Amino acid sequence: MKRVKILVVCGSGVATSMHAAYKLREYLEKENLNVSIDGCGNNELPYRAESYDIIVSNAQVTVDLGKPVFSAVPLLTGIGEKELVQQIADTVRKIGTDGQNSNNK
Amino acid sequence: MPSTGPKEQEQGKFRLSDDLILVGEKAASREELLGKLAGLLGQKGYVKESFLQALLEREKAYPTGLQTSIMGVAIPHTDTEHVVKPALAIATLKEPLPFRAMDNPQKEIPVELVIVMAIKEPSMQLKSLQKIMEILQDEKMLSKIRQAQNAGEILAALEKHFADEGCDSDVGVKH
Repeated sequence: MKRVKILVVCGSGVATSMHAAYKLREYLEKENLNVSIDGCGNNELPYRAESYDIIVSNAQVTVDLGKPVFSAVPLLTGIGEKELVQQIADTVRKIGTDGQNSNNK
Repeated sequence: MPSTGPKEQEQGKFRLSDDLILVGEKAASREELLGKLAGLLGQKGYVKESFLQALLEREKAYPTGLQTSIMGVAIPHTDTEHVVKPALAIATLKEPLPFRAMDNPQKEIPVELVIVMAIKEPSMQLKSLQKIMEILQDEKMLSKIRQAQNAGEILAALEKHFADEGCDSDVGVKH
């Protein structure tokens, strides 16, 4: 399975994205998924998104990035957190196993 | 925890203090409330004069309202350049104030607890930030804060939550 790259985004990249990224990493490592997770501020999203497979954002993403985008807010409030992590894990498995067809460069 | 007094707080820790906590606050708008909280931080030298403007702009562009399991909470914060020393300014509200939702700025959330985070060094404060974020998922803690009758009760609850990692408190110490 290829390594799946996840970018966690928040408004300024100074607070909530780091926390969300930390929690997500904990969950996905427990599931033995091969992921790398980075955090950034929303202003960096347009040019950083391209090199990632999945975007998880605290802030609303209004542009079409052509890849799966999830809300990170459940990782902050705990509401719907399990479901979110499950969805992300499923997406990671899917992208990881059809690596050869992926549009990842 | 023994008071550290006015000497330098440990790097990376948020200062907590009863004079940075407002209980049962009444404010006509979130701007007014954030003005009060930023004012407290400014008086004590935790933030620069530019902090309030930056905080309001950041809240406009990237709102911080979050619907937790028992109530709305907002965690306004802004760029580190406006901060001198890390600290938290906290308000509980008598009447909820609308804050726009973090993941959907079109939606307003009635907020009863506001935690303004003056963040200086995100990488060094990661642990502290995580402790703050944990509060959002801690129903007991949230309701304790909501029911508190005075700043001392909130401070005591937070001190217990942070134990000795995350925040320095200086209850009773006057600057």
